[in-house]
Amino acid sequence: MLKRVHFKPSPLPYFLVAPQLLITIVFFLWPASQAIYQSMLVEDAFGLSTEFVWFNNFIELFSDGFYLDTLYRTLFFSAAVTFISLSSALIFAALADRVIGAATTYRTLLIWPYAVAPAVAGALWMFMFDPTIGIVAYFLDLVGYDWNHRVNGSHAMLLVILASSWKQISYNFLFFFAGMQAIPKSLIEAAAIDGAGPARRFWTIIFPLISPVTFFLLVMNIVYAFFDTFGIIHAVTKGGPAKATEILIYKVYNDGFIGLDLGGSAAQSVILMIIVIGLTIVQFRYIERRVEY
Amino acid sequence: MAEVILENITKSFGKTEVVHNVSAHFHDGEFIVIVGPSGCGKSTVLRMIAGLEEVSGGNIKIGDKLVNNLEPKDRRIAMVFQNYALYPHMNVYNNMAYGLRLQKHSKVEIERRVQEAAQLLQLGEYLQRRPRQLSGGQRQRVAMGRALVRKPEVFLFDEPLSNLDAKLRHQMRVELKKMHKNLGTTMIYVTHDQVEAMTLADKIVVVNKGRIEQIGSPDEIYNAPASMFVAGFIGCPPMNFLPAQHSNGGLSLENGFIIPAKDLLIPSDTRQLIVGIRPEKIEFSHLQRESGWLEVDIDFIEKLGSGKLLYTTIGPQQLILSMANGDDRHITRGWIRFPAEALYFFSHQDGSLLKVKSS
Ligand SMILES: Nc1ncnc2c1ncn2[C@@H]1O[C@H](COP(=O)(O)OP(=O)(O)O)[C@@H](O)[C@H]1O
Ligand SMILES: [Mg+2]
Repeated sequence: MLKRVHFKPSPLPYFLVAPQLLITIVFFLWPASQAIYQSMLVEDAFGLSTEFVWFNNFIELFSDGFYLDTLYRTLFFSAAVTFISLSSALIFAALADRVIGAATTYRTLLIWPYAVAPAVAGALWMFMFDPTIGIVAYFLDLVGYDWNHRVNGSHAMLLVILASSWKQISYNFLFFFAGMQAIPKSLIEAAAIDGAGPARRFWTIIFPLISPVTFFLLVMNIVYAFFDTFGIIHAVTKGGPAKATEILIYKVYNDGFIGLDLGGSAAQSVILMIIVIGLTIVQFRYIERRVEY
Repeated sequence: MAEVILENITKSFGKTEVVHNVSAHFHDGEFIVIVGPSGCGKSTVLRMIAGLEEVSGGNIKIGDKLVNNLEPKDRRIAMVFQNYALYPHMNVYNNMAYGLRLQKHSKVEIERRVQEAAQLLQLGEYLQRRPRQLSGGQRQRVAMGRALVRKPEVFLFDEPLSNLDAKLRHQMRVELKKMHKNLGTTMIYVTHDQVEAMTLADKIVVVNKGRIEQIGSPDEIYNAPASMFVAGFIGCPPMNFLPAQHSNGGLSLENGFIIPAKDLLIPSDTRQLIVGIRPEKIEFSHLQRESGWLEVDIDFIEKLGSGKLLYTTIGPQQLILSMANGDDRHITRGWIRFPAEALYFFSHQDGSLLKVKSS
């Protein structure tokens, strides 16, 4: 047990944490409580009267087929984005770990996408895949594939998954790469002497040793796919066609700001809030009793 | 079991050559110690033998097989690293079994070999532990065990004891020597510690700045050092060096004292040279002596328990004398003599040993 050091009570500590507390209150607790309050209200079509309905908005949501569809779509989308961005970043990091000569150039190039704003990234992918002027669509046409994410829901989904994953690869790459660099070279050499080839060294030594990083990134990527992909989806498909790329966060926006169903939208945002709190708890729990070697 | 032959090995990192033209023949079953100051290229040589670094030039043969282009795993070697390089996520058993599994040994055989090594190294009760749950000495033994179970033809050690405390280091040194006696396998051991070199080696290779200075048995290296570098590096406290000049009466030191020439065999073809003498070979007396003896002030005394070191100066040069215990008077001055048969002569220019003309 740590022994507590006793100081005379002083207002200084409170003073020092005050700015942080204030920020938390103004930008999180206050809007969050507003959202929770809002989620229990129903407004009539003209915005003239509101009624307090307790959890009715939530009950309605979970009996709404569209909402459940969106939920499943989001799970699929998040799983795909997380898997693609994590696995590609892992491959890139493993390769960069072995490169010695042009390592810096290679790393810098890989980090760039992270500096691109989501809307710009979205626009970039939209142009590349544009059915009439896009370069990728053009090549797909050459090999006889008719690409049109404006009408084809699967195409649209694939596109936002690719764009969102691409944006996140840099972030993952940095963490994976740092994790791999932290493994002593002599471990890899010992494994090489023990007779393990590059692939086996990767799976039996490197991968297990960076597992804390992988878990951290797993959570971060799920959070990213759930929340931070709004910008890309908004720029590329606006949730369409026919809601094919509408994920939970986008539906909050659609229902609240376009559909003006404030109560329902607030209820959705409360659910999202609960999800992110849950993920954060998992994260912290895990970090507290991190795998120790 | 195998011999190891290095033929004109060079190694460059980029444009800088760090190992220059190293050749050596290590016989089957020998305990070789490569010793030299930090950064002289010892590890690089060892890593080239292991196959962890490619050679820039020359050939490496292990058991008359050219291994230049063989993967480390195909060279029938095992290596113990300075930081042990144990797999942190595997327990002791799996650390030792990892290589055996890759060699596709049967489960029974793996179990047998690991248990055998564990017993030899007294690791039996730790087999289920992770490396971080072990002390430094235990980790060191696991690293040995991992090398042992492979039954290699050559063991390679890169400063394996330098992370241990002095007592444990001594203990492991003895165990290592015993292990070598029992196994009879060729061992190549890299260290910067001349004590380890002297105590462990059948054959010492002294390396300086990427070149071999001398190869020889510990006795040869100690008694017949080929250069000032070797003489100064091997032995603790190190050999004393005194610049000297020929003069009529013999060799004149910087303070004007003349080592009498009558019983000296002085290399005659150089005027300037450097005289070397080991601290334990200098004779010391409390009593006033006559010719041939030099009166000195003793600056201070270092007590070692088993003996003591006296520090004095000759001109600007520090001189260390090593003496047995006994007379515990507080010594502040005395008379010293340099016995002719204990003197070494080195070239003033390049530090190489000067041959004494036999007359
Ligand atoms: N991978 C490397 N790249 C560049 N220089 C290196 C590399 N490894 C070692 N060196 C250089 O080679 C020289 C010898 O290194 P090393 O063999 O590790 O010395 P020692 O083991 O004798 O202390 C040093 O000057 C070191 O800086
Ligand atoms: Mg070294």
